[in-house]
Amino acid sequence: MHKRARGWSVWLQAGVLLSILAGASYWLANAGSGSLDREALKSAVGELRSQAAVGRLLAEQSARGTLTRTFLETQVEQSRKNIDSEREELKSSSVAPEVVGPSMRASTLARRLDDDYAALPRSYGDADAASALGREFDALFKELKSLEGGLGE
Amino acid sequence: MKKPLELFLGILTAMGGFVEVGELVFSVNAGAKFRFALLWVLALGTVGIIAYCEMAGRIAAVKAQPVFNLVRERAGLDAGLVTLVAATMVSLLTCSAEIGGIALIWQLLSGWPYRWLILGAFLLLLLSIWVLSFQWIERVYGLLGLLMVVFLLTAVYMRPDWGQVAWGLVPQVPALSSTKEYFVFAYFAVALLSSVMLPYETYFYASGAVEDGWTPSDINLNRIICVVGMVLGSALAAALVIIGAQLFMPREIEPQLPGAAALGPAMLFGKAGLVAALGGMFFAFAGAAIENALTGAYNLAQFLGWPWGKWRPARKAARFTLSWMIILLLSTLVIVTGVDPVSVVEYSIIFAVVLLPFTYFPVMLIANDRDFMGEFVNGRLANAVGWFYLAVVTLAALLAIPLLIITRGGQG
Repeated sequence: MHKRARGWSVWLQAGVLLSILAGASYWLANAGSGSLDREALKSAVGELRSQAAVGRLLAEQSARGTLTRTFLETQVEQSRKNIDSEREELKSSSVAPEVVGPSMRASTLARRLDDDYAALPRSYGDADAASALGREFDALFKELKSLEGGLGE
Repeated sequence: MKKPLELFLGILTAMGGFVEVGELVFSVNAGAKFRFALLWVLALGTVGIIAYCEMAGRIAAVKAQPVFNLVRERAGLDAGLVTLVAATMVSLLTCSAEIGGIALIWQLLSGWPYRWLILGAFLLLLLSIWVLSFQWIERVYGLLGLLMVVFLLTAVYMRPDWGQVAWGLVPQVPALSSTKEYFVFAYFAVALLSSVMLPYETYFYASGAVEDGWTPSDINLNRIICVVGMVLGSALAAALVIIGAQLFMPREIEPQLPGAAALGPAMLFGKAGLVAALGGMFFAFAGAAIENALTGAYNLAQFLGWPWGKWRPARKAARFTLSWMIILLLSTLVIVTGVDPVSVVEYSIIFAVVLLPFTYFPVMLIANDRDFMGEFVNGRLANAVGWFYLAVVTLAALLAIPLLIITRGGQG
């Protein structure tokens, strides 16, 4: 039984190593040159769209008074970090010529999103202000969704 | 009177200790991305972890031997050493992820700086393991982890289509828009299976059975705790999938941070729901961090033949005590470097899958060895289930890393 266990263990280790090798080969074969192509831009816009949806939900809940101030401020801070990292990506990558326009649009929307997030903690305790921000997040969400859809499958 | 109380506490602590940061992140995201289509993976994993924890607990009760004694004995020194190194690395990564999760939760409650909260979490965990007995660690963190029940209530109050939820328990692959989406689905299936069947759970459970001094008379207790505790714990994970599907999917949110899950209870129960959810997450993550630090030390001590156990005074199990302290310290250092805790969660879960077959195969061999186990050897059902799950986790182990790379950590 011990021999069987050892033999099986060796085969499994070899299998795992092979699978890692296969995954790494796939990654190397598909690794881009670091430029922002259509797919990478779509992924960045998708992330911004998700952040706009989070902002809308936070604003809705803030307006209903279900969040603590600290929770709201910290969530905003964490979301803004994610937005910053997407903005950096949009700024620093060399943009493929066919997506220059959508990339500039995404940068503009990302800046607006960041501004709205910055305003969110200030609306705490003011249901009207929070609802207004919720509508702004909703408009941004729709614009980002439309931009994402325009980048195709 | 003692047995029913032990049973009751055992079930509740198994339930409260079931969900940890990886399971929380993957369950909520699975619901947000694929609605109820991955619930069957949770069910599959739950039966698997019940089967193997029951076997490991039975071996511990009959022979007072935990898992890593068996790994060395049955797999040999070389293969055993590979398993030991891999298991220790995974425990360290998982412990790091839990510490990061605790700091994120505390930050949502206090607003204090993240790095200071990491250090605070380290000190609290160190003090907890040092001061509390094994039983009290289980009780404090397992029972207070039951605050997570607020997620169960939230899922019910969200009134999902229960027919669709039940349909999600049937193994399926939904119709998706692209090959990439199918890869992401497979990645989530493997990650969710791993998060339910994390190897440390079996190591810790078996070592805990030895710590608790189980004997063959505790075999039925072991069986009931495994089945009832883990089914209830799995219901908590299913509730997180439902919250992901009901709250985040319609709003097209991909919740990245553990704290986002608390928005569900907040929506229904207001600030009290929010605080209960964050409290439940804190105790669940802290419990898992302690279990991982201790598991790393148990594994090392059992493999190398050192005296081990929380029941021993620290000076009589000095190397064991030093080991859990070092694992806790290293885990803290990993997370304090500023590495994204959610990425650590993902890597710990995926690397844990690779370890699953190496963990479960020796357990299966021993539990099925009539000469060793005598009348407590596996029955036909335990054997059939055990071999089936060994095949499942082996397949998952082979697919895990390629899927991690192909899907860029589930991003598609």
